[in-house]
Amino acid sequence: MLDNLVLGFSTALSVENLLWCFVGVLVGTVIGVLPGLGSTTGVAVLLPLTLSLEPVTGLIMLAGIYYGSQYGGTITSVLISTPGEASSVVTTLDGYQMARQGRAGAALSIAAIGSFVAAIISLALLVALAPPFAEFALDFGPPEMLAVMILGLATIISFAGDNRVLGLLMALVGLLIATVGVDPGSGTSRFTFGSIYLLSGIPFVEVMIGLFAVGEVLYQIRQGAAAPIRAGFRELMISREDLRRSGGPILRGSFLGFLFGILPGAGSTLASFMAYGIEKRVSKRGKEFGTGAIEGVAAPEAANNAAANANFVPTLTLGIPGGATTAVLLGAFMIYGIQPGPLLFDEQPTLVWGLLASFFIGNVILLFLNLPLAPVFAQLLRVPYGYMYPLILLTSLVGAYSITNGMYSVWVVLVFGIIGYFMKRLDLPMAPLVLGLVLGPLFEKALVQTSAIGDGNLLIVFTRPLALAVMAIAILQVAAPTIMARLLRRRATPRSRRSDPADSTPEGSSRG
Amino acid sequence: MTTPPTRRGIAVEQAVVHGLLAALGLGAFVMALDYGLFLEESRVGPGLVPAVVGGLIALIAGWELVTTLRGHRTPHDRGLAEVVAATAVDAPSGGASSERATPGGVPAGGSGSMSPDGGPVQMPGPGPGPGPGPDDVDIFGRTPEERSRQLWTVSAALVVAALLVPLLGLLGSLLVLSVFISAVVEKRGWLPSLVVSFLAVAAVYGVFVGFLGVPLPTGLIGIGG
Repeated sequence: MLDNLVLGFSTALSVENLLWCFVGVLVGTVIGVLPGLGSTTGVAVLLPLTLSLEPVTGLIMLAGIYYGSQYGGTITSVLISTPGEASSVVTTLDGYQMARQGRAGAALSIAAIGSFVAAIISLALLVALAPPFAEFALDFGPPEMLAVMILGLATIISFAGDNRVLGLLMALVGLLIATVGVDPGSGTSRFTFGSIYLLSGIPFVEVMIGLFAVGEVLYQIRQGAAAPIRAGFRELMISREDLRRSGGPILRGSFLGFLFGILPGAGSTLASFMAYGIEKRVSKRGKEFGTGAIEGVAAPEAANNAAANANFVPTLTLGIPGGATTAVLLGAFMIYGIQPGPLLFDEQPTLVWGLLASFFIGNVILLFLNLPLAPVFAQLLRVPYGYMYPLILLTSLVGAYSITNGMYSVWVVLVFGIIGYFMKRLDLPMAPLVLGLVLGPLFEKALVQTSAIGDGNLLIVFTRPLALAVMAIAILQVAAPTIMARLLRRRATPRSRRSDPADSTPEGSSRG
Repeated sequence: MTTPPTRRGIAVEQAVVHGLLAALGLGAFVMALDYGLFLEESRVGPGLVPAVVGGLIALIAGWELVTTLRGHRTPHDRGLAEVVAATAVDAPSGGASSERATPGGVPAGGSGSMSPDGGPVQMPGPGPGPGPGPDDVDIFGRTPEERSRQLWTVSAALVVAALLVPLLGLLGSLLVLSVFISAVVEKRGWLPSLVVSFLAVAAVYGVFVGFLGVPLPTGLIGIGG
């Protein structure tokens, strides 16, 4: 363990890796600040830039963009109540209220501190748990992998959008797109229509640049420009009282976030909502939530950061991404010719431990960037979107071109850009499509292997205890949103009834 | 839930998209049957996954199409929204909880250019959040129709720019694209548009050609590369 950490830090602390880690977290923060742009867009658009770097350096930078944009996204959520991605939606509830009361500085500071503490806790857990988990996963055969992929898809279908049927539909579309090209099992070419381009399949990095960057820009054009910042920074420094109040929520949020983040497909959104919901129940100031309670910023921010790190457990040890952004990162691994999975820790120790060590370094950089500089980043919100989006389009198109040095990539980006616009407009969730697309080939391979093991009988999945258990969790996930909502509501009811009149606030009119 | 008049545009788009998806799923299903569902000893063949997936897409999208045509709007309160609603359930009203309760928000109505009815757009009250709603005038005073026109202009410009690459080269056509978007679509002055676009293209050139050494297509005129 210690050897591995030493190896990791000696890799991550090389001048080149440090530099790219810094560039990654800085660019990530900037992308997070830009309204409507989230970590998935950032990683997809900038992936082509890293192709000429060493794999470990490229991944360090891409991962930096991923968690850097978690910090940046908070700034937009707090200041203009426009979260860059779903995982910071819940931060707007109290963060935006704090900003309107002139406490934006305190909200941003506690978010940065909470995120940092959560990052360190979750990274320690990640470092401690990932290797034994990879060891354990070595025993997974195709049936178990099949079950885990179904679990990932079920979870993302349940939680990625507001309609499970549409989530399922999009996951299926992703799986169907993944079948284009030569079938790895039999060599049959499918849905190629005689085109040599389609023979190698529809390239998914280009699909993601299209969906998340071009589609997003088109959608923003249709939505119109947002109002500028209303919030002021009356006091930049956070008070001792604020820090004292936030300690518990940050710790609880960190562990909760890690727990949810480990589930393939669950990701940070769910974690942030659960942390907020639970904090509201256990906090003495539960009734102030929604009016600008600092606990309501600290807990979900800690949770979404912890979950973002925990996402790497299934991504690195199973090769099954925990969310849309880790799906793009998985794509980056594959472009570098590295297959994440149980063997990764043995085969690529320098890469894995260098990457994990860079997370510690990146989060330290982010803390020092964000505590004093949050108001500076906030100025980016004043740049008119009209200047911004041509640059995003340019980078997307040239980046796409540079992946294969061909115009085919550019056309794929444009086609999926228009598809992405309609998906956003009609509220069709993108994350299930992305996961379906990435998992498609792995899914089919596991299916073919499972049928070979069972001599054509796929039902052997149900005779393997581990696979059966995972499948049971997958089925539970489909009902999970309803169950969770009910649990959160039920616990709310008795508490608000026996509320102590001594500390009840006038606004605390909770619905029973 | 019935469809209010302002939502007609989006309902049409929804019907078209689900119709296309249903056709796609059906087409994939039929083609996949030819690939062979099972190999010898009933092992999974190359057609099984596309057939099952295509069939399911056809069924689900077909069902969504039928319900949309019958005037029902797809509910958006199942999934994460349930957890969101439970989380925000007793937050005081008028707070931020009512502003953006669902991630991304449900894009309500709006008469997109695909809307067949050219009737007047109903302007609802102030938008739910600080950003303009899809039906509001934004801070530059653009109406939804103008924004919709801008959207289709930019989309068309992207396709035209890609078609111009063999002639102007990649950077050349992107320069034209950027100037066009800034000056014509965003209605900034020609000089600032030219300056900003030139700087943007120079930055892209510096990173991709200078730093990464990507050989970009130069076109007939031979710009960049």
